[in-house]
Amino acid sequence: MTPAMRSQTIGLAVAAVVLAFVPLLIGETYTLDVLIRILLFVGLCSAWNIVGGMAGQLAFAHSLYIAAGAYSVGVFANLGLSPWLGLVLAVIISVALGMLIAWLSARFALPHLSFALITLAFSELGLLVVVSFKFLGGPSGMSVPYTGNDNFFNYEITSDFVHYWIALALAVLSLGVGLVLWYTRLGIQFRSVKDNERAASALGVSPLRVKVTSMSISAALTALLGGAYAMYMGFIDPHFFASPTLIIQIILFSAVGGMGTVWGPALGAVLLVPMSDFLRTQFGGTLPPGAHVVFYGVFVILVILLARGGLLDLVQRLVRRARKRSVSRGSEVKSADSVLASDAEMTEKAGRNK
Amino acid sequence: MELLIQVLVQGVLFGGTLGLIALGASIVYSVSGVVNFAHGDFMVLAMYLTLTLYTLFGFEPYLSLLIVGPLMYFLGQAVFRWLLRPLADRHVLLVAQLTLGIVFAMQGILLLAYGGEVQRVPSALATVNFDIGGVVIRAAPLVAFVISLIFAVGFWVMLQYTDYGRSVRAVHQNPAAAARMGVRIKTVQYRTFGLGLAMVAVAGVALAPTVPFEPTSGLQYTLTTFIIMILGGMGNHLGTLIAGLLIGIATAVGEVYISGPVGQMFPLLLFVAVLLFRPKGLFGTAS
Repeated sequence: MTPAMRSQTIGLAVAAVVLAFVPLLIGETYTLDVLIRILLFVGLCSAWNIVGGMAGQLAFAHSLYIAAGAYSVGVFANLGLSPWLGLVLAVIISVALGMLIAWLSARFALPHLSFALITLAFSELGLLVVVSFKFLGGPSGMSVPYTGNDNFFNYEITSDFVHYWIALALAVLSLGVGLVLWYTRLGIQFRSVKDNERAASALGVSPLRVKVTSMSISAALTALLGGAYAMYMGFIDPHFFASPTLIIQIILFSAVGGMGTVWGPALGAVLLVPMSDFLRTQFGGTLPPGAHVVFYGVFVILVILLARGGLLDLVQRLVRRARKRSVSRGSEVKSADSVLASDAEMTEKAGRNK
Repeated sequence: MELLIQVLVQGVLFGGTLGLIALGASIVYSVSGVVNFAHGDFMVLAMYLTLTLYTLFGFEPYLSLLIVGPLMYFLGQAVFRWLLRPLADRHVLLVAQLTLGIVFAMQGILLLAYGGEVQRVPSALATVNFDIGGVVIRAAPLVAFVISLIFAVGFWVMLQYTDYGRSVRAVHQNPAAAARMGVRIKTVQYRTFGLGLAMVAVAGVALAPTVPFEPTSGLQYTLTTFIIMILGGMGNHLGTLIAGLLIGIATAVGEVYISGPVGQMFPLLLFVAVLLFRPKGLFGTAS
């Protein structure tokens, strides 16, 4: 394990432990609800990032996996079966779908935009499929039966605390997988396909394997998160769980935070989930409806235009610049990290000024 | 049999307009590689502008073309210059994401300005119907089709016979060579984006009297546009127009013969089916 990976893994573990205590401090409040949703989105964005940020495939198909997760637990719960089994089924379905879509992309050598648009079409198709089945509740959605009892085996949870811990666990899992991928050979293969598919393939990396693997991992995680989200909400609205809108938000959060890194999408989620909430509750009353959506859209546009690589990258650059200034004052020896960092910066610049 | 002809006619009329919308996206893509997720939202903007002109000044919707068209042309140039052009050296997907941001901003602005209720633009033609051999043709979609046809043909003429048209084709085929031959790529891209939005505006104005719309309607049209573009082959303008007709027909068939959401799926399923056999689209070239 490289030092960088070790420190980030430790950081993640510490953060997980610290965060686990939060509900005990704040109790079952609205804040906890926001935190749960932040964690779920952190998980969703990090999961998407595996195929979107690391492997470079702008995939809208994730709404299918979220829907699979949500509806599987819903259906199982309504049938009196354990929703956990539903999650297993959801993962199987999502991975199968994901592999199919990725295979199509690789087999037909779809350019990035075509792939994006085709997955968008699949996403819309998914919504229509879900809405047309009365069995799944149709356009009005499906509610998860609520017995008021605590029965963990049946995923019946009355305490938001437990939902929080589940969300935290999934978010940590998602980030952890991303972290592991980033520093291992597989992840580097992902990123090589993202940077230059032909060159990667010439070096012996199989784009097909990369696309299929990244999509499968991403799909599995996403399905789990979709299921957890559904069980938390208690109600599965197809226009939320199966529509392209949610995945567009996930993509935007990831882009704002910085798609090319492990932590970027999480940062995007942490910033933007409460922001849209905050805007809606604070200003939904005083400003006319729609204002917060405008603000949100404008913010995304500004970040993309002004912050190359997203906000995380922006922060990293500022940190690097601050470090360089202290080095040039001769007050410390350059650490290996900062040398590597400025190397990376130079290579990046070289690549950009081609 | 009569029903089939009715459906086909409806499909062709609607499909013609869809083709124009998709053509707008296609020319932008062919010249600048930009896929604009906010494409449909710009069209809805045009529809709202038509509505405003009607409610404020009593403009007959089709007349608004003269105002909304040029307005959107300049808006397009501004958007491209300030928002999209700066991203030219970055990953193409980032541009797509910016346009997603525009989707949210646009929907929010429309919501703010007009509220969320479904709107229609009344027109003197709304109740006019033609009956040709048992097939009923409503005047408004027919007019929309004719307008779209005129603009599509006009565009083709411009593409073939004007300097601007030649430069558009040049930039599409080989930007580097075009630049060396003195074509100002930037100018072509600005103008083309403006033109693309103007086309979408024309389609929007033409469609406004025939369909209800509200701030979130855009995404649906954007999706249809993309399907048409891929079906026809990215960058292939004629293919896109034909694909527009096909999707229009498929939509009409789906609506009439299969009820409910399954009917709405029909064009999408057709799209997926075609793609599996011809991934580059029906008329796509390796571009």
